[in-house]
Amino acid sequence: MIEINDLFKKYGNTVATDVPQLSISSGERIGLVGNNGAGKTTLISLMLDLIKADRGSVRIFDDVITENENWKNHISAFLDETFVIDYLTADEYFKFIARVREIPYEEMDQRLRPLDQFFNDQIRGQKKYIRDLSKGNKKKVGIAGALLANPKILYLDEPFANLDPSSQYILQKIIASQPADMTIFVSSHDLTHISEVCKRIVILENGAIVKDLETSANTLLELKSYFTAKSDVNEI
Amino acid sequence: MIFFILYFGAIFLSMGLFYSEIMEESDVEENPIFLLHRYILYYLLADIVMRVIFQEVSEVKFRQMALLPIPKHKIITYILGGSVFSLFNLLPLVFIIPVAIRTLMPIYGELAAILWIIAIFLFLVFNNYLALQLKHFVSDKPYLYFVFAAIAGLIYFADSSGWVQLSSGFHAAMEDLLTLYWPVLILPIIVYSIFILVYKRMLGQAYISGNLKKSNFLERLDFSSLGERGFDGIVFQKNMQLIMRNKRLRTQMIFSMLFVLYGLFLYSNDRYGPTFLLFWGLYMTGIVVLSFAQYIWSYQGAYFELLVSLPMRIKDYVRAQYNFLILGCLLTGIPSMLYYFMNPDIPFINLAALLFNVGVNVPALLAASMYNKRKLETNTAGTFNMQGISGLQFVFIFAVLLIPIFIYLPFSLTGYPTLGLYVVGGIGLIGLLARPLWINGIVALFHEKKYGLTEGYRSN
Repeated sequence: MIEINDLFKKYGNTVATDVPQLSISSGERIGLVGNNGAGKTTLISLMLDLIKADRGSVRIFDDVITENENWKNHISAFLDETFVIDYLTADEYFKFIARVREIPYEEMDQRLRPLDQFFNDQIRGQKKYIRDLSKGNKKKVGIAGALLANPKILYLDEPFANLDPSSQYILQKIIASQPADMTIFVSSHDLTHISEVCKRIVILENGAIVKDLETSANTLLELKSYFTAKSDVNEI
Repeated sequence: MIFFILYFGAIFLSMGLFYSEIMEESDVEENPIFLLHRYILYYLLADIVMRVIFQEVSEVKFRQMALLPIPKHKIITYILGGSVFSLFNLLPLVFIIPVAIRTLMPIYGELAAILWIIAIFLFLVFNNYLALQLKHFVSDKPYLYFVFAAIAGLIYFADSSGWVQLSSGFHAAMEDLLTLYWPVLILPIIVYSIFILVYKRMLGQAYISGNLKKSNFLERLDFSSLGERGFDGIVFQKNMQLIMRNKRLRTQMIFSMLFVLYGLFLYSNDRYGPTFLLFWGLYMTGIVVLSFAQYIWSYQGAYFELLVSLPMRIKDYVRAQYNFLILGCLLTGIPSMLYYFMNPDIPFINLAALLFNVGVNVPALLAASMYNKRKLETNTAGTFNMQGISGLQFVFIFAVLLIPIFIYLPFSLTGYPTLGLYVVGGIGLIGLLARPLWINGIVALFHEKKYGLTEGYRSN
């Protein structure tokens, strides 16, 4: 479903992405972890055709993403605030997304209803522009906008960051309750959440995949020991 | 914006300096001082109508300062006090001071002239606070704006038709002030009363949040009927919201709309040749959209990544934007034809200009807008805001206004001005018919530029 081949991107002398091969199949829940600068956002941006790769390709279903726009029908994404229109209210934003994606309003409401607990009465029906919402609430709007599409592939970059603890757990449940055939690609610093949500975890370092794990009972420990070892360098 | 301010500043200044001379030359029978007072009264009326739309108290400043350990009444005093130094209050001084020195001082003496300046300034400050108070009513009930505007219009007509003698009364009062001096003391009391009214109200609002109720009434129009009309409608709605809900864009757009009225002044003077009129035609029929078109991507820089990842064809999006800009040109272009009644050549000139704008200038600027990689902060100050603007953009806007003039000049200089207009309009028409080609070109350029734009908008 998603095929990455020989994907390479360099900024100056820094390698941002170097992924010789990565296949993601339908319905996979895949977590992307790595320290700051490991290249998580760059990889997702390359997969959304927001950044031009130096070489290599990303294929979604039958389409190489740089060649046409068909693949956009299958994906939705929330990376950060550049994915919300901040001078709209949350409801206007959802309507905008629904209109562009040709989702009838009744269906839009249906799809947003399961998020009521996540919204905590602070999103829908509010007469406030998104730019006047708190950082956490902005994020909720963006995530909801991406979920609204009910896509075949969903990309979320750091969805847990800036959310309050309850919302983090609710989001975890929301991600888990998505249809089984939805492929979800999540990047996060939060090892606990990501190992709960994802069945497969990819560790990035300097743009390259250094580990590709199936989650099991030991995954969290394994991840923790990997990152502890990273911080346990002699220089300190 | 800067252009507007410098331009009007220059006009005000020259009118102020040469008021007596202008009055002598034009053969009006009325007392020039009476006329001066009458014009000032009309100005004050128009001023209040304008201010209700444009003048804002800095809510952002309030929110920033509210976090500091300063008592709220001091913050409000500071902000209200600071609002005195707005362009609305300062720009007229460019006229008031020279007219007082050159026209009033020789007749009434120095002290009278100084008191007169102070008095007029206090009237402006009064308007300043009155506007804030009216704005408060308008933001609750938007239609009230039209009621206020209608009342101002009614007063103007009642007075100019001689039905009520308001300007005579104003003149008499100002005469008293100029000769007796003491009436000036009444004004601070009036200004202070309105200040206290606004101050009390603001103090009563426990906090200023991002609540829409207190926002500009234009912001709350949601244009939802547009959004239900196909894909173009969605884009139109979003554009209208973008313009109305972001202070910088809103101010700029309304100011350019008002510029169409400037023809009332311009066309009443038959000194201008056809080349100049064509230039104004291009400006008038295009300014609203040209200044938007050349930053169309930068204005959307804050959510550019959403736009490029949503499942809409960029081609449809570009076409919708183009159509939006054509409608914008018609919005100013068609009313500008009404200047037929002042100069029967205008509709023809403006039609040629309008065609050139929609057929050539709009698509050219749509393409050019992709060369500005900086996103524009849309909700910051409306005037004197140069953030995100590069010199290149000035070159573009001059190019689109001057190129048609260069096309026209050879014809006009060799004695075929009408043919020149046909050529300018014809090129525009060809451009309009070639719309699909333009769109394809813009889309191709977009696919080449989009990575650079994403990176540019992300980094600043």
